[in-house]
Order: sequence, then structure tokens, then C-alpha cells
Amino acid sequence: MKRIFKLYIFKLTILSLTMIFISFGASAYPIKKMYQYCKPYQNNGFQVKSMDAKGKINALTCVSYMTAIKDLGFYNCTLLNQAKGMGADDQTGPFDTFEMVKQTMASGKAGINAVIASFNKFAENNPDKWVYKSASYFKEFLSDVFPCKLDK
Amino acid sequence: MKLLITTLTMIFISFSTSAVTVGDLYKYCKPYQNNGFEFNNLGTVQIQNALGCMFYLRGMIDRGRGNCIVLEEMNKMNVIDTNKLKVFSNLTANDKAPLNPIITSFINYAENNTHQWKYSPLSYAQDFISKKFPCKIKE
Repeated sequence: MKRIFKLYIFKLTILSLTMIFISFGASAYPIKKMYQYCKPYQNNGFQVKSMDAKGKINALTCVSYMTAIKDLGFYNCTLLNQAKGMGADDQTGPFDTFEMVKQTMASGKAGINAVIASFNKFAENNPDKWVYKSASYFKEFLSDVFPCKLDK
Repeated sequence: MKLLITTLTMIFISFSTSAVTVGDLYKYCKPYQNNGFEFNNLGTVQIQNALGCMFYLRGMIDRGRGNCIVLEEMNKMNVIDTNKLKVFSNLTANDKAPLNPIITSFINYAENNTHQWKYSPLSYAQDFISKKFPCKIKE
């Protein structure tokens, strides 16, 4: 019973954090704009060869931004694993700290084209969220799809 | 705590899964800064490089800011030990930060640390982003 309650509180906390994170603002790089940059690149088979100059610039913008986001997610994952290996995850306190941080800040290794495809799919399925910052939905299109695996 | 942060920093200095290196990013960013953060008078390749520089660093800033918000909220909820949060915030989180000062901060860092050009810029985000615009986790 206690364990189920703990799990419920944990899930509630993750959900609250996600909601707070998502509402951290509309920005100069909202999902709508990034989708406009990324989708033609995907439609072109992740190649820029036959694209015009504007299309190439948009594709470059998409790739650069998404590369930083995915790399930082994997960096955080590696950091968590290293910290855990050093004994920082002492399991004190009511929650699994590392699990919580993993779900909100880290992601597994992922190829850039797969990340772009995942982002585009998320954008297409959630047009009501297009005014928000692309990085706000990191969990939905990156962490949940390419989860960080913590070593036992 | 400091020892843990230092050790983790040392580990991540050798972290280089990203194809982008400090040296690459410096080459992308420097002409754009020299041109006063304007595209005028830059060639096509230099504009493309400038965009790569801008959006790679913009992505790092946005993710770092997002991480900071999560950590701040975790701290407010009082569910995780503040010292643990500080470990994460020191390495992967930052406050809101404007782009051009971060580009300048990165360029200064790269010029002062040429021996690190072969490594990922992610390993040094704390030096050129987080230290300049720190994520503030209150006690």
C-alpha cells in the first residue's frame, strides 16, 4: 500500500514537473517554426541536395538545434550513470532521485534523423502546442522515445 | 560535494560522443562574431556556419534553462536533497541567457583553451554558459 502511494506521488510529481516545464513559455523558436524547418528536410529523405537555399538554411537550423538538444540529453544520461557509479545515488529520501531526474532531463543515445522524425511526429499530433518552445517537450519526443538507461 | 562535482567534470572533459567539437563550433561562430553578429558581407558558407553556431548554442541554452526550471521546481517541492540538485545544476543547467553574449563567452573560452578543441562543447557548458548565467537553486 505504501509502495503504491509512493509510486502515485512519484508519477504526480513527474506530471507536475512536466506541466511546469511546458509552461515555461512561448519563445522565438516555438514548435510551429521548428516544424516548418524540420519537416521539409524529413520529406526530402534527410538530404539537402535538391533543396533551395532557404530550404537548406532551414534544414541546417533544424539539425543544429536538435543535435544540441539530443546531445545534452545523452550527456545528462551519461552524467547520471557516472554519478550513480560513484555512489551519489544513495537512495535516501522518499523518492528515487535519479529516476526522477532521468525522466525529466536525460535521454538515451539517438540518431539525429530519428530525433527529427520523432519531433515532427509529435508536432503533427499536437498542433495545440505549436506556440510553445520546442525544448519544452524534450520528454515527449526524446526521453520517452529514446529513454536513458540507468545502470543497475 | 565539490570533489564530486570536480570528478564528474573531469569525467566529462573526455566525453566526446557528439560529432561537434569545440574547434568546429569555434570555426562556425568566430566569423559571425567578427562581423558584429550580422549576416551582411558574410559568404554563403559563413552564413550557414553562423546558423549552425547560433542554433547549436541556442539548443544548449534552451535545454539548460529547461533543466534549471525542473531543478528549481524539485527544490520547491522539497522532494530531493538540495545538495544533490546542486550537483546536477552545476553541470547541466543555466538561467535564461541571450544568444550573442553566449557566443562571445564560448569564443573566449575556446581561444583560452585551445587544448580542448577536439572535445565536445557540451563538456564545457558549465564554463561558458552556466558560470555566466547560473541556475540558482535556493537553500
